[in-house]
Amino acid sequence: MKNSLVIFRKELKDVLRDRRTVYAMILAPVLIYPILITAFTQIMRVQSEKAQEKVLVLGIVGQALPPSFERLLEQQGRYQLIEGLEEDSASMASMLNDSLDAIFSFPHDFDQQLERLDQGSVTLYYRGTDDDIRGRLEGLSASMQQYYSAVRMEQMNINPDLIQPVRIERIDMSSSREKLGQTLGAIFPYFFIIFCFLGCMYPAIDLGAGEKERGTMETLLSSPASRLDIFLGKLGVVFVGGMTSAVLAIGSLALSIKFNTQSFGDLPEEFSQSLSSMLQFDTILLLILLLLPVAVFFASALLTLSITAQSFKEAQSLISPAMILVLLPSMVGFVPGIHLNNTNALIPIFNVSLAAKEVLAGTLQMGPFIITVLSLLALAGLGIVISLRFFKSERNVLPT
Amino acid sequence: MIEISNLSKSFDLSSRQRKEMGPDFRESKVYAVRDVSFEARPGRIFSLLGANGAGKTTTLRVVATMLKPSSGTVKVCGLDSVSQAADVRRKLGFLTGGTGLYARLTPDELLRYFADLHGMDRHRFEQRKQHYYDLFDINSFAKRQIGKLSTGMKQKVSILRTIIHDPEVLVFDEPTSGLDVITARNIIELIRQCREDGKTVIFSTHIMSEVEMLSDDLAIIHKGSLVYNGTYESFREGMQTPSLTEEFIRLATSAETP
Repeated sequence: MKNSLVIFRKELKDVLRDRRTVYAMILAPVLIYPILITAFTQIMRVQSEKAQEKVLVLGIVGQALPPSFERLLEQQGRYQLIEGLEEDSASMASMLNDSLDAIFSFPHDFDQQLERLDQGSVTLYYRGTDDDIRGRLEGLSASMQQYYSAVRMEQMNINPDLIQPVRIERIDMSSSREKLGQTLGAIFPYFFIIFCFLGCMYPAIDLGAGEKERGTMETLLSSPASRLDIFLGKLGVVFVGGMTSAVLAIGSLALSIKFNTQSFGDLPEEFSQSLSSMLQFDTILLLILLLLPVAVFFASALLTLSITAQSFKEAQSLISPAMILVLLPSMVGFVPGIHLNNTNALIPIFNVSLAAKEVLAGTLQMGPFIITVLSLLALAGLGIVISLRFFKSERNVLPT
Repeated sequence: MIEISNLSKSFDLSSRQRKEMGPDFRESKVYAVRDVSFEARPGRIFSLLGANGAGKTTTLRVVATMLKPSSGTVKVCGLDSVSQAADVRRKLGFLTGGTGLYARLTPDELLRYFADLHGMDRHRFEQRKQHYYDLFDINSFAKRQIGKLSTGMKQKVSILRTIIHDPEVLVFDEPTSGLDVITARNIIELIRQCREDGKTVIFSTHIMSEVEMLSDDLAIIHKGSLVYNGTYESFREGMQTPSLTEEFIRLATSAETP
C-alpha cells in the first residue's frame, strides 16, 4: 500500500503538469460556466430591456383610428402610430418586414359598435417570428380586453364582480427551494455527472494508454510496485480528477447563477435565498455521497478502456462513445414529472440525476436514496474488480 | 544470477489474430518462447542475440516478472519469478531502448520516485544520486523537466534510474536501439561497468558489434527457441563461417531445416 501512495503522489503531480488535463479538470469547469452564463444572461437582459423599451410602430389601416384605442395607447406609452395604410396584404407584409411592427385594422364605426353594446372586431397583422414584438402585442391585446371590458361594465353600470362569480386565489405552498429545485435541480446533476466524467477522462487516458505509448509502463512494471499498487495509485488520481472537476463545476455554476441573478430586478432575493438553502452543508454532503461512487465507477471504467488501448488516440476513440452512454441518462432530470423511486433507483446515472434533483429540491425520500447509493456502491465495486482484472492481464498492460 | 529452466511462454490468440495468421493456422495460441534454458552469472555479461520477433523481449519480460511463464521456471538471485515476483523486482534494474521516462517530471523527481518504490532510505539515495550526478554531469539539468532535455541527457537519466537502487541484476532490452552513436556508447560503458561491479548482466540485441564488444556468455534465439547457448569464447572457436553475422544466419537457417 505504501507504493500505492508513492504512485498516487507522483501521478497526481504528473497529470497536474499536463495542460490538457488541467484544462479539462480545473479550468473548464471553473471558467466555462461563469463565462457562458454571464454572457448568456447579459445578452438576455439587454435583449429583454431593449424589447421593453422599444417604441412599437403600429400601422392603422385607413383613417379609422378609434379615439378609445388612441387613449389606451397614450396610457400604455411607447407606441407610434402611422395612419392611412391601404388594406392590401402584399404591401402590408412588405411594411411589416420593413418599418412596421404591427398593423391594426378597425371598422370605421368601431367606437359606435361598442357604444351600441355590440362586439367590436379588430384585425391585427404581425410577424409571429419575432418573439419580443409578439410578447408586446400579446400584452397590448390583453390590455385592450381589460380596458374595453371595464368601459362596458361602467357603461352598463355593472359591478365587475357580478360577471366573475368565482374568484380563485391560488396559493403555491411549494417552497421557492422546491420550485427552484425542479429547474436548477435538473441542471446541476447533468453538469456534475458530465464534469465528473470529463475530469476522469484525460487522467485515465494519460495514465493508461498514454503511459503504454510513452514506454514508461514497462519501467514501472519492473519496479517493486505490484499491479495492485499501480492500479490503486492510478485509480486514485483519476478519481480525484473526476471529483475535483465535478465539485468545481457545481461551485462555479452556483456562483455564476447567484452572481448573474443579481442583475435581474424582482427575483434575486428569493432566488438567492433558495440557492443558499440548496447549497447548505447537508445538501452538499448528500450530493457528495452520490458523487463519490459515481466518480469511482467512472475512474475504473475509463481506466479499463484506457488500459486496453495501445495509444492515446485509440483510447480517445474508445472512450468517446462511452460518453454518449453517460450523457443520455444524465439528461433525464430535464424531463418533468419523473421522480426517484425504488425501481429507477437501480438504473445507473439515471438514478444519480433524479436523486440529485430531489436532494436539491429538498423533496428527497430516504428509501430510494439509500437504494441509489447502495446500487452505485455496488457498481463502483464491480468497476474496480473488472478494471483490476484488466490491469492484471499481461495482454492489456504491456505495450505490444 | 539468473537461472532459466525450460521456459516457454505462449499467448492466446483472438479470433481476429487467428484470421491474420492465415487460413491454414489452426492453433489457439502462439509460442513466443519455447523450452528455453540458460544461466547468467554475476560478474559476466550474458548476450541474448536474435532477430526481431525471435523472443528476446518476451524472455527478458519474464525475467523482470512482467510476464508469467506458461511453463518452466525463472529464478533471479535464487528467487522464483512468479511466487516471489516483488522480491525479484527489488533485485532488478531494467532498461529498454526507449528511455521510459516521465517527460513532465524533473530528473530529481523521477529518481526520487523510483528510489521510493524501491524503498531506499533518503540518506543512501542522496549519496548515490550525488555520486552519479557528478559522474554523469547531471547537476546542470537535474531540475529541468525531462521532456525538455536532449536525447543524450535523457539517456543519462534513464541509466541512473536503472542503477539508483544498486540492483544485483541488470536487464537491458535492446538498450541502444534508436540511439545515436555517442549515447549508445554511454550504454555500452554502463554495461561494462556493471560487469566490473560484479553484477549479473543480461542484454538482448540484434547488433552483432555489441555482441562482439560485450559478451562473456551468449545465447542465440530464433523463432522462440535457443539455437546456441554457451560462452562467447567457445562460440568463436566453433564458428564455421568467417563472421559473426554469417554464423548467426547459418545457425538460424539450420534451425529451420528439418
